[in-house]
Amino acid sequence: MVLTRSWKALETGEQSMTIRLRNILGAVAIVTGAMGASGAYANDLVTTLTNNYGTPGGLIDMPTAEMAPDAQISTTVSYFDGFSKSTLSFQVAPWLTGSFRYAGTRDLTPQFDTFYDRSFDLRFRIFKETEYSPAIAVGLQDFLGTGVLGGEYIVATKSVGSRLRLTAGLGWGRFGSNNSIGGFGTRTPFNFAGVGTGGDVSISNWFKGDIGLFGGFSYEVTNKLSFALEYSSDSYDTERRAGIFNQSTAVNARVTYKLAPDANLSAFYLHGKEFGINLAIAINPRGMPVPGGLEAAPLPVAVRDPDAARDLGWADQPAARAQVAKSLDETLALDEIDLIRLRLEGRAAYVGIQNETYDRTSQALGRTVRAMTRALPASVEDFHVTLYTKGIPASTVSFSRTDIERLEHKASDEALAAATFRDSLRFGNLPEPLPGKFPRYGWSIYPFTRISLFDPDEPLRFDVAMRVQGQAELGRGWMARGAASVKLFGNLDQSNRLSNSRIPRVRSDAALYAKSDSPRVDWLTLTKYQRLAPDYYGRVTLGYLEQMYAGVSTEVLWRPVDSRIAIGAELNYVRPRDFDGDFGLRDNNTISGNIPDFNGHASVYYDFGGGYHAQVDAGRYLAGDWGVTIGFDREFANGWKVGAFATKTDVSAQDFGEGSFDKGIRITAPISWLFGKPTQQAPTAVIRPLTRDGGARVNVTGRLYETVRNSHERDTVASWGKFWR
Amino acid sequence: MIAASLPRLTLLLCAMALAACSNQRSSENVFSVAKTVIQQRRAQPVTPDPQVVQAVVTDALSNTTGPLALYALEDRKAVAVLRPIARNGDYQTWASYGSSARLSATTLNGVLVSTRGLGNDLMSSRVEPLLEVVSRREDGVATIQQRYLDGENQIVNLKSDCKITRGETETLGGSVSGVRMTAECWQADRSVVNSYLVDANGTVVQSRHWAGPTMGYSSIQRLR
Repeated sequence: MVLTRSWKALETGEQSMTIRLRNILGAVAIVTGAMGASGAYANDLVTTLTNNYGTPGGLIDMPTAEMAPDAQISTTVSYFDGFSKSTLSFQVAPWLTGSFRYAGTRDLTPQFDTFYDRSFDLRFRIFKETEYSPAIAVGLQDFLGTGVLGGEYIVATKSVGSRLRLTAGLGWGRFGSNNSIGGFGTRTPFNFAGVGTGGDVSISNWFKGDIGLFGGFSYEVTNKLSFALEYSSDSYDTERRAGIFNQSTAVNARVTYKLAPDANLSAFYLHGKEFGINLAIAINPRGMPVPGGLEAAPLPVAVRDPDAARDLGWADQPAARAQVAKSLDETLALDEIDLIRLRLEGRAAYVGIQNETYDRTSQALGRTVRAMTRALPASVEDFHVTLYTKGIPASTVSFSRTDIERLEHKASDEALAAATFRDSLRFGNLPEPLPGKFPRYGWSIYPFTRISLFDPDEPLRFDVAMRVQGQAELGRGWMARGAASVKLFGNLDQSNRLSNSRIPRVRSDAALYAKSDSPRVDWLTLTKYQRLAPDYYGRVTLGYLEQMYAGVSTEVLWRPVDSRIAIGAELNYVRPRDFDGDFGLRDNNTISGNIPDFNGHASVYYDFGGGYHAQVDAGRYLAGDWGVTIGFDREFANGWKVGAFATKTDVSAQDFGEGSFDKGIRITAPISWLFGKPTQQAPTAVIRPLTRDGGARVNVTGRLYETVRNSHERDTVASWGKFWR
Repeated sequence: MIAASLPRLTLLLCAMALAACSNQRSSENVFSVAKTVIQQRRAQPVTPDPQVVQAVVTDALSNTTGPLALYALEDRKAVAVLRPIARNGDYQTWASYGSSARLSATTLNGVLVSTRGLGNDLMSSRVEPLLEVVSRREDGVATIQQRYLDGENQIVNLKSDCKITRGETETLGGSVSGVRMTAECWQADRSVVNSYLVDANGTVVQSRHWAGPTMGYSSIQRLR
């Protein structure tokens, strides 16, 4: 029996004579990888430039039919005399751009010093450019906000050679206010009195009223420097009426310098009157700084001596069996994978692992089977690896050892063909727990921020706080988690905007939660995860669930191991917590109504394939309102997720207040992507233009779907290339 | 009023001055992320001192008994002495001698077929058709495949059509002699020239083989 376990044991050389290969290689990989990420999409009328509204395009105020490279996330900040716009744009698909914008205009209305406004855009490319015909796109600007920037357009862009791009288009609304060539239908003109609660989709106005003709060109002088000139069909009517804008010409010009492959700085001259600047910085989730990652090399497969495979002598010897378990445990520990269960049975090994290191399950799996080739007796031919998550088995993947030996140096899809995924309960034969693996404790202390965005008095407020966090995993699905934090500094407590909600104040009292400087309990919960039956999972969480609520959350999920679809249900009993974050609870009464004890949802999750994912939740929300949430995300195999969601409940737009209904965007950025080391940390940012009381839900950590899906077949296979990495 | 939680990654700057610690594995805090990024930006490849390389070679030859090879990745100016750590059929996996860094490379008859832990790794290759011609020391053609991971962990299979020509007999380091075989390989958007020194048994004793778009040429020479 050969038990070569440690990497160090594979090397026998002197430690002093090291050539620092890794540092050198790693550094170059970072640089070259980052440079290469954006260069691949040279043609097809894509651009990394954005206009003043932050949408992809080489012109200044006017849109084009250009698209950003697929999956590009760009942030654009543009400014001229009192007008600022910050825009986040995402290339949802090669033919669809979505944008979210926060615009501030000084002295636009008498009520506000600066009028801040949030808006959403969509742009669809309906025809691609061909050799003889232009690309054509249709766009909706500010279709979900107040409409102060609202407009629609149909635009055509054609490239002439590799440096010149010509654009012409027809605009409505804002883009139809100058150079009108006629029109049809009537459009309710924008005025502040008509804004109401905003957030309406005023389809009846789309493509109605005056049609403005606009056009322009962009020219790449060098690879770094480009120039654009346009004739604008936007006369800035609202701004001129407010006396804050005047124009002498409809011609705009811009010069852009490329600071880096995905960073552009522009200076523009608007309507013969205003100078301004525009800075656009982009990141593309598809282009990882170091594709494949920088993690340490795996242990190679240890191939058996052909004669050794018949030796079953170890099976009868308890001491030999214990030695095998110890050896496998140590080998897996080298790759930071936890062996928590093991059964050896003649020619089969049943191994239970819990992976808290690798964000790609395929990689944990590939390293586990290689460790098994090194640690298990030669007579063991069948490898059954059960992937445990939060102490419960989520799936069992089986291989024959001969295949692992045979396929180590082949393309990874051959190993995929040799793998069998099964629901662990359906597979049965679950290995027994190894002694001494639980309880396990983890803790960390780290600084973090609480952010408040878009308050008209102060658009960005934040607190910096220090948090102590700990958890105990007790085995068999029991988890205890707790965290306490103390504010270090910040200005969240300076918000004076008290809620004016007409429905129970389930979220709009956020400012009251920021008033106290004393230490607070962020969460303190006990959770039990449980396999209920094949394909069924259960969860009960009890305690202080989040900043504002304590209670009990229960959940059931049905999800077959190879399924596109999952169905879940959640029922919560909640009580609001004290504003100062101690252990106390408030009663359910708020000025504008009672917070009901129970809320809950039925959910459907659907994986369309190709990285597109949808979730629909229907049920009763925190304020007792009934409704539906639709969420749509683009998920990348490297862990990035970019999505949007909207909730409509039986709360009327009037009662909901500003924004009319709950909506927002969410972005998950995996840390492993950023610097190539495996880690499961992937912070999610949720940005809501407004947080009010309608369509609100309790935030429970560790919901079942996200807990089990990584160990299931579809998510594991999505990045199968990492199996041999 | 809006509360959005943008966790640690986003506010790097605010948190830079603050400490963070943890007993949890693979738990990265903002401070270490920032430090890593800065270090990566600063590092520049430096050509290793030939005298140091020679010293490591001498050390390896005198302190070990098994096979040894000298490995160089030209574009990254990296050189290492390799010693074998595992064998799977005809595939030989090597790690760098005298280093505990977990980096490895695998060869098939002296030609690089995969790397691990170097960044932008060559995941696997199919070079058997080329090796068949090269080891016969004859002119011929062959198609090879080299596989990488892209930013989304998907396998990219790069195919090359190679034209192989027999060259002159050479002697390496005064002792090993062989025939210089050259393979000119065309891909969709580039062409590379590989070369192999093949002894009378058909063994590749020295090779200069293109390893990938960000790796460039990799050369391996058997020391023993």
